[in-house]
Amino acid sequence: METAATKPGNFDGALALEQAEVMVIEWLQQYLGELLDIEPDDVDIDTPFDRYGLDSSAAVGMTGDLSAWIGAAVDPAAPYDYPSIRQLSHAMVTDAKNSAVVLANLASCR
Amino acid sequence: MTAITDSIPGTAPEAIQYHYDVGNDFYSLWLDPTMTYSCALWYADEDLQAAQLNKIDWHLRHANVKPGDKLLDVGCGWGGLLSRARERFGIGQGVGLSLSEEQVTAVRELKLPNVEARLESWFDHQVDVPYDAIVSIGAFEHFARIDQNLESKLAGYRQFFRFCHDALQPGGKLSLQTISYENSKREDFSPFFAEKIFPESDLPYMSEIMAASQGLFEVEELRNDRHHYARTLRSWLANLRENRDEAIRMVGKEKVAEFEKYLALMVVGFHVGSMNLTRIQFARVNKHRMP
Repeated sequence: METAATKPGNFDGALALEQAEVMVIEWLQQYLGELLDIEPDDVDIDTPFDRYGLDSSAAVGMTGDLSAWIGAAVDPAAPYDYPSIRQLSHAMVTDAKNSAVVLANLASCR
Repeated sequence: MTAITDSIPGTAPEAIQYHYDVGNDFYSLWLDPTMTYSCALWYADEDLQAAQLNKIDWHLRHANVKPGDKLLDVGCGWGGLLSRARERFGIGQGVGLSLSEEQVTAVRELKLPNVEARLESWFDHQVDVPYDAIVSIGAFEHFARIDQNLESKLAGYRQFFRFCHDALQPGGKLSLQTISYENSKREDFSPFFAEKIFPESDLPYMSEIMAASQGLFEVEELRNDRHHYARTLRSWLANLRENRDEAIRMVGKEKVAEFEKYLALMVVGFHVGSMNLTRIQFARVNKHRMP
């Protein structure tokens, strides 16, 4: 499998965007699964957060925990701009300010 | 507490002190060096301190503060505006009101010439010689309580504008900044805020500000800047997280977690528009209506 590390110009040991995105998706499914008491696999990644009953308090908790896990700042309002797991995960790994840090940190989480 | 202070409309001094007297050192960990604890004003890519000074200058200009003027700052915080008013606008006399003991002490320690900090509500403030200008930033949020009915809430606001009217020279201006309800209702006020962060406080609706000031003040300029507050809060939150260990040493883990949650929730509130941040330039109405 081609990884980010094998491509020139990428952060040493970092992941490909796609791999990182999948990791964030799975983390969010796990997180919401625990919060909602359902199987992570049953958490649909395209269902808007508010339909899962996520209020601002829960959103703030989620972004705080996500931030601690990926080792980069996550805006507390991000779930409102990117209102599904798929959209939020994509934004997290492609965000220009954080991308390199996130990819490197996620590589070490694997 | 005297009997008079008991009837202050809005937040009681003890409830003010619960939030603002957590510790000046704690606040200095995440506020900018001017210790300004309210929404900044950005014109471009300035840092937080520059944006706070933009905000202070905006209000001093909109209150039409001139050299030699007598200025009242209702809710003076740690004295950033009064300092600036002396240094850059050459005021002759300044009075700052606050219900926070730590803030009043901090302003006194600045030893600004001809500036007096008083532990007092505007409600109890005696004015012998009227002021040339009044500024009030981030205090109006404490002029009502969530448990008041709407009629008494509005009456309290009206009392504030009447105070300002009486306390100002004819031709004087009041520059006001406050958070307001935007796309949300009073019932949406978070219990977490009411219990843990800002006890005994409530926000105004824009319509209440307009109704309460009608006939006493004329609105000359109004700008709503909720995104400026989201940006200010993001800066504070980043600063607090950067200094988390020290903050925990100062005020404990639970308090720091509360503040982080509060700041993050406020980011969301301003970002999505459930709250707004309004800055209003008011000119004192000087003549009574024609009969």
